[in-house]
Amino acid sequence: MEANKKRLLQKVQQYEFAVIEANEYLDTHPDDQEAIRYFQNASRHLQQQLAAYEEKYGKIAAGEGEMTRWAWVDEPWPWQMEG
Amino acid sequence: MWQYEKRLIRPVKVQRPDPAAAMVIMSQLGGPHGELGAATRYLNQRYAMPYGEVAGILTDVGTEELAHVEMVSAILYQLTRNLTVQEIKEKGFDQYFVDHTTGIYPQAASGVPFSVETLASTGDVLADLHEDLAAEQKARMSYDNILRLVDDPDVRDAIKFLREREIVHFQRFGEAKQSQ
Repeated sequence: MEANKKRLLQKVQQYEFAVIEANEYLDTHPDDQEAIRYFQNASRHLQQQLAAYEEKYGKIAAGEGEMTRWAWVDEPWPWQMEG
Repeated sequence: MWQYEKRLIRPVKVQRPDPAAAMVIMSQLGGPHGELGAATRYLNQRYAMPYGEVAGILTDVGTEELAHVEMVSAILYQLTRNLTVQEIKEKGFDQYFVDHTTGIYPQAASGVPFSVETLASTGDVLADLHEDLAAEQKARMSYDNILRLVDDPDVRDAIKFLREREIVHFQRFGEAKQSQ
């Protein structure tokens, strides 16, 4: 996988991990204002990074948008990104 | 409902196939403390929960466990690539291979197939949350044992991430128990 694609995907993974972690924390601390801000900030970054990745390298979730081929079926699948 | 994202929750990049390591790691897919049991345990327990915080954490941790199922499966897939018959025999992978080739089948390292007897759903908030706290510790313990048995840093990195998540989920379930 080319270096830039790898870097962008890693950004997506980092922000999504922050979103998952904050989401679970908020489940048991629903009134924590700082955690709510952290979640919203991480969510915003995730959306930006996701848009940047998908614009160049195709959908992470099967989705809409301009296309001439359903690239969702193309390799690599996530488990095929071995070292 | 759920929507699939075409990526792993954390990258798995195993360079060196090792069927002997796969044989022990597969317990964390389909064994008594594995991720498949964790995901189904939490997602099944949700319906009896009278508190939003508890239903929420079970939903979100259960969902994350599904991503862990995929991550463990990716480790197994990469550890069993391009094997020779000689490697399969010498590394003790032949008994698995004869029934499953290199397909991903949820079983314990001992060969016992995944069983829902390993998970509980009692309909009781306190009983279920205590079950979940124990389950997270048992999964953490299994990852500790895998770290004792596996040397490859690529595999250990991924296993350490999964181990860490058990500790965080234990913390969240403890808070859920206190929130009532």
